[in-house]
Amino acid sequence: MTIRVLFFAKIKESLGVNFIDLKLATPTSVEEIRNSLFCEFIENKSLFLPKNSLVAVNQEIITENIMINQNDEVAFFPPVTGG
Amino acid sequence: MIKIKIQNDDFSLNDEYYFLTKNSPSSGAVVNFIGRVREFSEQDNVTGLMLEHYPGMTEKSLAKIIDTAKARWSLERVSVIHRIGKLSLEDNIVYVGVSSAHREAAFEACCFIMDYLKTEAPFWKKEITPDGEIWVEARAKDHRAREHWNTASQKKP
Repeated sequence: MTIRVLFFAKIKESLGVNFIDLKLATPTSVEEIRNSLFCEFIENKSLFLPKNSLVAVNQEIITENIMINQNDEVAFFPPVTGG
Repeated sequence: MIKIKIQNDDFSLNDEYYFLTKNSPSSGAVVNFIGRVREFSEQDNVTGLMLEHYPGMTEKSLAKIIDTAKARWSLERVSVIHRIGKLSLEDNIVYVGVSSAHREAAFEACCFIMDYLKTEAPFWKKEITPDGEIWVEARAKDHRAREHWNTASQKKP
């Protein structure tokens, strides 16, 4: 299946793309997606380390390594700094 | 009643006060918070900010924060407005307004909503200085402020 992963803020700017489509086996997990991102963006892999990034699935921040299914919306972004 | 807005334009305090109080004789207290662009932050020569957010998730996140506040305090109305895009020194960034029967609930809920907004709502700030642009890093102080609510009493004034 193809999972679209969205990027925001410093991650988006550093990579120069808003999203990437990853081809992954079904089902997959957040950690497998993180590992795929390490490979895809090897020079920027530190951006995806847990201390540098939050993960949202279907627009909710998740902290567990949950399973990801087709049509789930996945996003990686830096810790938030609004307000 | 709840109002959540993400917008480029500035907001009007008069309009928000009207939203919070019109035909609401039970609202004895209104608390407003406004966050502004300040000249010193990560850098000491900030001239402006660029604010980005995650459309869709931002609104959901703010709605959840407000629902949690409404479950904890007796609130009449809540308005949250966050600006995005390019902002200059002294511009308004964020507005949180809360009305309630009594001031204690309004003060506490306003503070609670800001503490959670700063640590959970998907906004990101980039500071603009004469020397370049720098993404703001998340601060431990903001996370401690939010954690305080987990240990504070759960009473409902």
